[in-house]
Amino acid sequence: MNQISDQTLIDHCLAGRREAFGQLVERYQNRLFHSLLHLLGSAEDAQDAAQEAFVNAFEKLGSFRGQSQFYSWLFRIAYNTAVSSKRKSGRMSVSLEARRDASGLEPSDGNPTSEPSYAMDVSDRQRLVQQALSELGEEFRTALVLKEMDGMSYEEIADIVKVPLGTVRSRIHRARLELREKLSVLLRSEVL
Amino acid sequence: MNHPVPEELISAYFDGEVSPDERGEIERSLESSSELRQQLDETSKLSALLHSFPRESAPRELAANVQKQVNAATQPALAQTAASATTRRNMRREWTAFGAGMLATIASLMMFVSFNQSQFTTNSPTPLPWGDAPLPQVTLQSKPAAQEVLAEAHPTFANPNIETEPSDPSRQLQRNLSLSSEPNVARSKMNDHSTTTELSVKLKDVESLAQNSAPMVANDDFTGTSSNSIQPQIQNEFLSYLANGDVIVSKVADPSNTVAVVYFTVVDIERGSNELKVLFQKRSLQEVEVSDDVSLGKEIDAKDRLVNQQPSITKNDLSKKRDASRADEFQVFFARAPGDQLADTIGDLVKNHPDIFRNWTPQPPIELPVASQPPTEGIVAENKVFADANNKAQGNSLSQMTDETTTVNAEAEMAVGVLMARNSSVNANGDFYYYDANSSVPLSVSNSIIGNTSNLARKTEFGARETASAAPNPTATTTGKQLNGINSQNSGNSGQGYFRVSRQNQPHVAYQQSAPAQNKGTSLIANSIVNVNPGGLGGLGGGMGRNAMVNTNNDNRNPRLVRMLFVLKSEQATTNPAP
Repeated sequence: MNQISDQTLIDHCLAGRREAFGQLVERYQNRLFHSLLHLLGSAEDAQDAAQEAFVNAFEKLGSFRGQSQFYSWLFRIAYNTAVSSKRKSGRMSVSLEARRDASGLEPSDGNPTSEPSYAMDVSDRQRLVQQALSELGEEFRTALVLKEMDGMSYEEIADIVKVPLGTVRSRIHRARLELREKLSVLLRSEVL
Repeated sequence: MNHPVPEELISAYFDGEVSPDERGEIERSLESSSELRQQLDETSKLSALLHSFPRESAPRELAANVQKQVNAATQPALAQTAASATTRRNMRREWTAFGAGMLATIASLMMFVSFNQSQFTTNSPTPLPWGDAPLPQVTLQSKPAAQEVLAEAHPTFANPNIETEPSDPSRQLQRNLSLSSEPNVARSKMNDHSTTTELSVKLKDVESLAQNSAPMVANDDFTGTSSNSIQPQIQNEFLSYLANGDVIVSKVADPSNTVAVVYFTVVDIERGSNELKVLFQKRSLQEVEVSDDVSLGKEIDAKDRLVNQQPSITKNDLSKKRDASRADEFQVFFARAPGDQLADTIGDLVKNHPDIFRNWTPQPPIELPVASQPPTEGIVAENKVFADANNKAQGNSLSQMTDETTTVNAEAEMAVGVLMARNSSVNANGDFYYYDANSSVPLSVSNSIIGNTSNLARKTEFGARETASAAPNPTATTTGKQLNGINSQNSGNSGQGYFRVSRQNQPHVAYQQSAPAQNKGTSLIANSIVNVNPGGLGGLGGGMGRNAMVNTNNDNRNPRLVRMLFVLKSEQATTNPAP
């Protein structure tokens, strides 16, 4: 198909055409934001991280060698940004306030099993899932989100989080186990 | 309980991240371990749950904020340069430099716009406030107005009334087009596919006949195909802006002057298939196998066969494609269940998820025959009985059905296969690549059989291949030419063709392609091809990943109307360029 390749846009950027970077932003902002949202649990944090990642990517564009997909490179920047931000703020999980902001709903009491599953609507379920995700260990959540939400391969995930492939496999498995347990009621419910 | 395979592998298997050896080991273990199967089911359900929510879009201000920051980061350097220049130049020189700079800027901008015009094939419905100028809007240049070219293709195009046949989708499109500043406005644009040859096949938006029409490209890539096979390719860029429920209305015409209106409704098949998985589980439909499988495309020997059959595809190409296709995994459903239950399940899936299947109306329930006297192996005549029974159950015209000439071993089970597949990708050049058996979501039944193999993916492919080789030439129908093409393509894995899902001793499902009449009773059929022929227009099975479509023609007898769904790929797949 005739979509301009990332590399071509990058070349345009490096040639001084800033507007080409806009195309890259347009191309990847939704995907990046979506993954960061599930990773960070807050739309505000996700936006901040995505924004910072794009700006950093623009500044470092000359160092992009094309050895990986641009998105993987971009996400690595975003991930490092998020990790760095977490170190500063001391958190990388979802606050009650953030959950309220993200979903527009009051947070639950934190126990998915206490929820009347039959009465859940999409927002309720989404909130519970996000909450369960946020309760996973960061490394497990990251691996799972990148796989499930972002559709990355294990290899790409390994490249981003800088761990061996087997570790990615293990983390995703553990994340799923934990999540299945946390969401067992929801998974058994008829409203799915 | 100890399993012969680590539980961890089940998770990786679900993700298609196991080696062929591991896959074989897992599949053997799955056959004997209900616990492992349950784990796989739970993994599947969890995945479905995670994918059951609306995909969050980035806030609109994100791009604008990035722009501001980028501008801020670059302006100081520019300002510094300018200040430095000012100290060295007098006012006249400064003005000269400024003017030259402006000219250079304008020139570069024009070059970029020009470049984009030659590359982009769709408008962005939500242009970003990026750069000093809006993103270029693509216009069709040096192309005859659609009205003219369509009229050339067929006189009826001179009469715009032809556009008004279906009401609802048309209104949907009208709504979309009338709100052209809103997101999700879908407009088909010119296809500049470099490897195709433009024929006098046209596609257009109903509401903007003259302004926004775009010639369709008859895809000559599919060697052996008839010239009346039209593949309405959708541009990558175009796909990026589509959302669930969007309707694209296009007219297609072929050189034989047959025209039709095609409605494309965007459906997130990924979500749909996940929901279908859940329904299968909840309803305890037995012997359901779900394969989120990439092995169809990755299996080595399958690739070798492909390479042999289609020499233009090299192993290297396939490798590249595979790398690029990680998001294009198959999602294949195999169900062995009474047809009515399956039909009900499909119906409920659609009914309960209007968010996914918006604008989609399920076909009447499919009543699959339960044969009381299964044909014995090798007896074609009895197979014909089955075929006839199937045809009858589907409301198909018997004369249009295929006579299976293959040796079959159908055991008259209430076998149904449901396939939602996405199996294409882009190659290194960004072209769509088709390989292996192509997908469809068939709910019709045929009787050919495949070899006995334990590998599900292999079975699937074999099924398609066997089907391809076994299918006769339905010369009595209007689509004989097509079928010939399909069959050859199917066996050649070149992107068209129908797909039969089969398991050992289980009648396959197959999409009985040809005229729209045969779509009756078929709930989900992935289509990638629109066939226009004098006898009518029908969608051919053969989903092609992001272009996979599902025929939802509710007006089966209208030869000029086909409603199709096409897969809204996950975002990364629709926006990722080819490597």
